[in-house]
Amino acid sequence: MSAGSLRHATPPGVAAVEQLRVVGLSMRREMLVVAAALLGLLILAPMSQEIMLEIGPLLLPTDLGPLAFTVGIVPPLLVWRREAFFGESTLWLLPVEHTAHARAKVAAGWLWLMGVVGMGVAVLIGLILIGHGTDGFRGMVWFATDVAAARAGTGGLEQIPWATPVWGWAHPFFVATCTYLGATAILLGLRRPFHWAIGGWIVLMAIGLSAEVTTAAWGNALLSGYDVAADGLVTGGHDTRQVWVTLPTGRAYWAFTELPTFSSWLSSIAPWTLGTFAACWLATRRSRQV
Amino acid sequence: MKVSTMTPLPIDMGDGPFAIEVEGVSRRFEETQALDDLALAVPEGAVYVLVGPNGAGKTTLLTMLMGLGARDSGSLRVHGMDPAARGAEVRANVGYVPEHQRLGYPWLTVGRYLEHCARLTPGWDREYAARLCRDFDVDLSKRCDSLSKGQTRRVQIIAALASRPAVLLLDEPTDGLDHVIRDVMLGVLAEHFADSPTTALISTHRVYEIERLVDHVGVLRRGRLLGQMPVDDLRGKLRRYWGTAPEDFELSLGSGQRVVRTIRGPADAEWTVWGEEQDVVAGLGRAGATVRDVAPLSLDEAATALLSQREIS
Repeated sequence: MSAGSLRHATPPGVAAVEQLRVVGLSMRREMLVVAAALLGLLILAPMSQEIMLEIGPLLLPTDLGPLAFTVGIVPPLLVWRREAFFGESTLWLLPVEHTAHARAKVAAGWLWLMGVVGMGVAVLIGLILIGHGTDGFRGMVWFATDVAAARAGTGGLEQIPWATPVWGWAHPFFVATCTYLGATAILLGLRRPFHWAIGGWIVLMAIGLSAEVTTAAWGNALLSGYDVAADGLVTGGHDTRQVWVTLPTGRAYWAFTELPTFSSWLSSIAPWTLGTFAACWLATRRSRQV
Repeated sequence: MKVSTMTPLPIDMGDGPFAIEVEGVSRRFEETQALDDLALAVPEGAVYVLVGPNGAGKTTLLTMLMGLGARDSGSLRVHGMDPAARGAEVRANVGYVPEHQRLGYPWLTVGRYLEHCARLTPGWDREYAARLCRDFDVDLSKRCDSLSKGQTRRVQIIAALASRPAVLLLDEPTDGLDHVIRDVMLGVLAEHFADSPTTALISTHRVYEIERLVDHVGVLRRGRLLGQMPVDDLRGKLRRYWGTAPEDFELSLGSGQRVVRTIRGPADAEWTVWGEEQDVVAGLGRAGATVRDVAPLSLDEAATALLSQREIS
């Protein structure tokens, strides 16, 4: 057979479109459950004033970080469900270059994830608007100009007006993206991903616990000492800019020592986004041979 | 009784052209040497059956040819392409039925699964796929995870054939099929080989099932090829001889001959010997044996005899 009569591999673009469909089908059941839950919330929540008061106002969308973090972990498990990461599985047997095919699948899962996060954010904004109108995005925040004075009750603590920053709405998308890419990198890049994930989680918990118990500087630094610390991923660094101020009267507040800005958020989230993207990029390059 | 002379079985397949070429390939899995300096060549257009016991390395080889198995040394080419370097192009020209009976996406219907394969496989012939589905009585509306082993195997065979690939790699293709569907499959394969220019490498334990389809055979044991040849050569040269031999019988065959197996009864003896019939009969006669009957072996019997041969001296 001449070389000219041999067929070429399937282009990655074709694989990407097809993966979008197949990954959508693999996540269909879970996405329908989420969609039904969000729709139910949108219909039922306005019927209860108590629930509506709980839902807003929302001054810092970065508060959605922990939820987005959790949401981002789930899709990799659905996208790669029943798929062997190495060796003979349908994905690797098809005539598409392995790295490109893996990336197409990762991208497909990410697009569906962004759809789910977008749906969640849209429902939340809708509920806040229903419950509080545009006031749901305006309010006062505590600001500590002098923490020591504030704790001594001699001033240094004030309330300042604050409007929900538009960039803040990007935060849940970025957090979900980071956890999605990180979890995918673990799944695709390591021979025993679940061992590594569980081990890594135990180490993180140990660091957190020892930091809590011993108030060790290194532990706190790792968790929230820098823009790129763990807090940078989860809250976009705004926890790092807050202190817990207990007044002599016994009342306590979270007060900003420095107001979060687009630039501070970006410096927190960008390294995580780039890091997890690079990890995922490398993981997809790994040979699938056994 | 002494039997001597060990002429190796033929391995040289001539100058080609070859659709599949394997040279000096070795692969070790911890304590197991799965492939050991393996050399094999499948001529273009051949239907080559690779026989061997469990653990001989058949699946390891097929996995490598799909670009999914790593090798420690040696070279592999499918239509001149190295599967390790150009895996996607190789897979675009290969239809593969794996040893396992699992379809990738249990939540898909069979119809959607085949559609997935169709969209990603160049040259997919939808009409042919639909005809294969009818021939194999495949229910397209069933979910992949509700299929039996045999039903899964049918879908795998359809997915392998539907693009009419240049090369077919079939790993135990009849595994899990009932006798009716097995018959359908053999008919479909025969028709496929007649209609489409295909080279096939079939790995199986059940040679008798595919005997009428194949024209080349390779015998693999412990990761090494004992021999490979056209089936006609095997049928012509590997024969079973019955006769009687004296107690002090000592068989010494000439070049180009090889005793594959000897069974000695109280009165009679049976020799399975590779070589030209008249030369073997003459050799047995010179050694004092009287040959009473000679018969060719079926491919299955030949494979069994070759695999059970021992170094006799």
